[in-house]
Amino acid sequence: MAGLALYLHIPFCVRKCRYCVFVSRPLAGGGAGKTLVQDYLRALRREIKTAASLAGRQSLGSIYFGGGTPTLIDPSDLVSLLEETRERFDWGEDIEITVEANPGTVSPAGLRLLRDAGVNRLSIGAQSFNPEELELLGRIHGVAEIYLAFYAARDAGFDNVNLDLIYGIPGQTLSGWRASLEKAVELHPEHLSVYGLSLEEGTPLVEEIAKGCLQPCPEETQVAMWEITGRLLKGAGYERYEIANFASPGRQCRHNLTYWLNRPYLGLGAAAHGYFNGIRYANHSDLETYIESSLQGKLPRAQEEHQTPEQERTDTIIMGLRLTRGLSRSAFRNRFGYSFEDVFGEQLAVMEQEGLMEENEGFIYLTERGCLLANYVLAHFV
Amino acid sequence: MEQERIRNFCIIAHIDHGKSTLADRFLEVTGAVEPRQMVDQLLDQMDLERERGITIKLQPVRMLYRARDGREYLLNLIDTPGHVDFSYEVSRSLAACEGAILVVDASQGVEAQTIANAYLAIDAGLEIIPVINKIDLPVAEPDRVAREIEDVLGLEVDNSLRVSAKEGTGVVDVLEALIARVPPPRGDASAPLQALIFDSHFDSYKGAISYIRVFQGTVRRGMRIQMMSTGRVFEVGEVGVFTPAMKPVEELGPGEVGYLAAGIKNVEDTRVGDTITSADSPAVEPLPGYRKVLPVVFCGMYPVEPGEYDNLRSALGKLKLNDAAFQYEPETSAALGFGFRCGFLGLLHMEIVQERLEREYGLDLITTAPNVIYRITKRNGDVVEVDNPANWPDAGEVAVIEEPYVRATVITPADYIGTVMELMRERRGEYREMSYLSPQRVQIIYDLPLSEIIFDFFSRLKSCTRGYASLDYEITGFRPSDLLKLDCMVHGEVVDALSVIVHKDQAMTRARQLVEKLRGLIPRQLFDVPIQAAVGSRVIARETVKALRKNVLEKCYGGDVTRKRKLLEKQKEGKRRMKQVGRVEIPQEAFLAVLRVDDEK
Repeated sequence: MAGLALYLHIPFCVRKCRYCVFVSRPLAGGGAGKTLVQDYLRALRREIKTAASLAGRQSLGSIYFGGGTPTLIDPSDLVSLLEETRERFDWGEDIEITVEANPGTVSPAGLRLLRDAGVNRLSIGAQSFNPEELELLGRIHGVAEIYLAFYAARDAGFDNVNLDLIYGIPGQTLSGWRASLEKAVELHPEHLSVYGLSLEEGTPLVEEIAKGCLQPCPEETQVAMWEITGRLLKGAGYERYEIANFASPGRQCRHNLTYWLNRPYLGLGAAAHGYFNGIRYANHSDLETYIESSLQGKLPRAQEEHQTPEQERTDTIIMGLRLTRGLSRSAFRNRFGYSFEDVFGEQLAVMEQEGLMEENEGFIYLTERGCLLANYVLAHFV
Repeated sequence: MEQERIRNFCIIAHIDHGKSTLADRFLEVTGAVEPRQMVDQLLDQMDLERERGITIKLQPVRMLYRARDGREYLLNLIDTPGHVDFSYEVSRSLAACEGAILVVDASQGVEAQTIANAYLAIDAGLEIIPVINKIDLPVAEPDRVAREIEDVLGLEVDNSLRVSAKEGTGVVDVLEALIARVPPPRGDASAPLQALIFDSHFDSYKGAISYIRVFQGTVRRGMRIQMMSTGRVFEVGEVGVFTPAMKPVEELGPGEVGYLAAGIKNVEDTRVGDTITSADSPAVEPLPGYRKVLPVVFCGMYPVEPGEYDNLRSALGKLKLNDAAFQYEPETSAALGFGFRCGFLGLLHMEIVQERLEREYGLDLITTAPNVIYRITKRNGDVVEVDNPANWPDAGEVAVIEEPYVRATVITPADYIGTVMELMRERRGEYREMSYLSPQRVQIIYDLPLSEIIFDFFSRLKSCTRGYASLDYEITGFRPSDLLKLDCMVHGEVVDALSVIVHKDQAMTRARQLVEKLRGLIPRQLFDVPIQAAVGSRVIARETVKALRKNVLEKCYGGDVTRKRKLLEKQKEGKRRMKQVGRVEIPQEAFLAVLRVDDEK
């Protein structure tokens, strides 16, 4: 997997979902919003240029448009961003280019435009096939829009599509979850990302739970949901290759693998994070600050942290163990010059005894139970 | 300075009546401290004392004062603590003085410790000078307070001694009264040396520093001295006075107060209350000294990291030098490993020692719930004293259990008689008597178990009387009681450090509160953890900490790496502060849970 990974953040949404803590700005219709988007896109194009002059003309292995809702802005604007990357970097031969697409914000024509411009992977935020759950999550779309988006993607020629799904929603039952999952599988997407709902401080959803209006999904139910997810998707021909990600053979997301293998990537756009030249950085999350900084030709970074060898080791382990195949012993030794057991032999033995980790053919990995308790397990290796 | 012109005195008062402020004014008036070096509560040197607004350590200071008669006098002030936990320090100061200034708040009047401290001073044969302070307050009632002092304590009040230490009014009159009324020390400079050790502290360069009051003879640098209780001999490296900073002098004669360093390394060689004499021409008898203070509250202290045991031991040794009333001895807990059983004068004392160990020595400690000492007569006639629930004998062996009782004196506005009596009843109190100090203020006396008074009694008393009540108590002896040991089992294993002694009637309630509290404090493990409270082999309360089934950050991409790493580091740090007992990790706070169940009632 050669080439640098490039992440581009589009921080705009129709409105904020009720569980979301990502940086995004609800876009009011009308002139003010339009100007802001145009300023932002100019700043982002400028940052691509600035970053490229720093990184040199590298070959790109993947590009990923995340958000926010990238499909909320005009597809031709996304295309012009793509052109900017092509001008400043080399696209690798089999480059993977993903756009996150939200149902309700895509059109067949727009998708075709993206496909023609080189986008070859679409990630659709379906989240649920139950209308009440979509409502509770504060999604802007219904079930029908999911189908419309998915078929439009196929019609536009996308043969590599991911669906995002969320389980553990307040009020969700085990059979309700199974129904959503089955509906997703019936569409035969190439890839599925399945997340347990994470309740984040300060979101409307958490406030309602605190007020007692909503009951969080009990832990036992969530565990059962996790278990049927694995079983059902395996039966449908998907392989779990990361804690929350499933793919048909050969359809793993190469961009995301960059993160899990702790390889360098450039993150561009407001609030984007990156890891490049041994530095972890975070861009300004305030849009206006970001725009101003980038347009002055600076790297619009709010924070930079030079990684120590220990931090690099920790990140390599805690990200690498997320992969089902696990952490490669030889890759570890090549990277750090000593073996995993040299530092963590004792902890590994304890985890194996507890049935949370296993090893084979040069890989160290979490068992299924270890995945469910990943935070507990990984804390032993920091 | 000739002996005639020395005055040794202390200031005694109920807490918050303005003792430290008056001491500050004395330092200013006499020029002992230059104005620019003056800070409030100068003699309260410990950070902890300033933060809490209390005096913990007694602190001597020497002042030169030119009186109205034109002559210069040498005044030695020995500051004293006000909290009831530290009343023993008061009696130590008293033994080194000829006079005491009794400060009484002009708005609050005589309080429980005003009485207790005044009686201590009377018993010690001191000249007592009552001073009414805070006359600047709008609510001051100096006439009423003067009457109270005369009626309750039988002391004559000189009406000219009404002061505002805060504003400085009347302070000089107090010093003049001191010179006129407090007798100068007696003693013969050429007699064999007799110097009383009234305190000590440890200096890393000079070793143990003894705070002394010379009664007979003279002590000077280079002299060979002998500790009368141990017979050990040392050579004096330095003598000096407190200005309040330590300042070396050539010698200290009869009546003088100062310090002495003699390269003493061992705590036990500079016992507070001991008499120092000359090794070459020793005195025949030691000074009376004072009764040894016995700790009444005990708890276990364990290092979180077993490797810190030696550091803890040496810190305790150093602390002990500064704190004669504090005791410790090694103990072993099946749950917590090697540690110490420590004895204190009260809960405040315990908190302070714990805080000093953590702050000044950087130690991470697990403190077990405090308990009192119990006396148990076994069926075979043996009598044992138990200061650790883990050493409680089997029920079958026990004939009689006794627990320490106190006589508690509460002074409160008459409006709160009912609430105070209710609190006393709740705490197993037995009514003794009640008397009116004035139509509005009443003194109530009860006998009750010490264990009931040390746990949170004072704050309850304060809150149910809106802060108006004051408390003093003295231990009166042991009384038989129906007590049980409540054991706590975590995951089937008895955790000795969690055992508590409770009264039979409270066992069920305490057991329920305890398991419930522990359920909230013990983090979920990978398996169900039953928590049971038992008396003997009978389980009387049970809760379960459900197993942790799912703990995973599912969405984790590039931007989350740093956040994720920090989260795991925090998780690991939290683990470090826990104690592994059997297969279960128990956090530090859990060991004090036994204590805290009381707070929430």
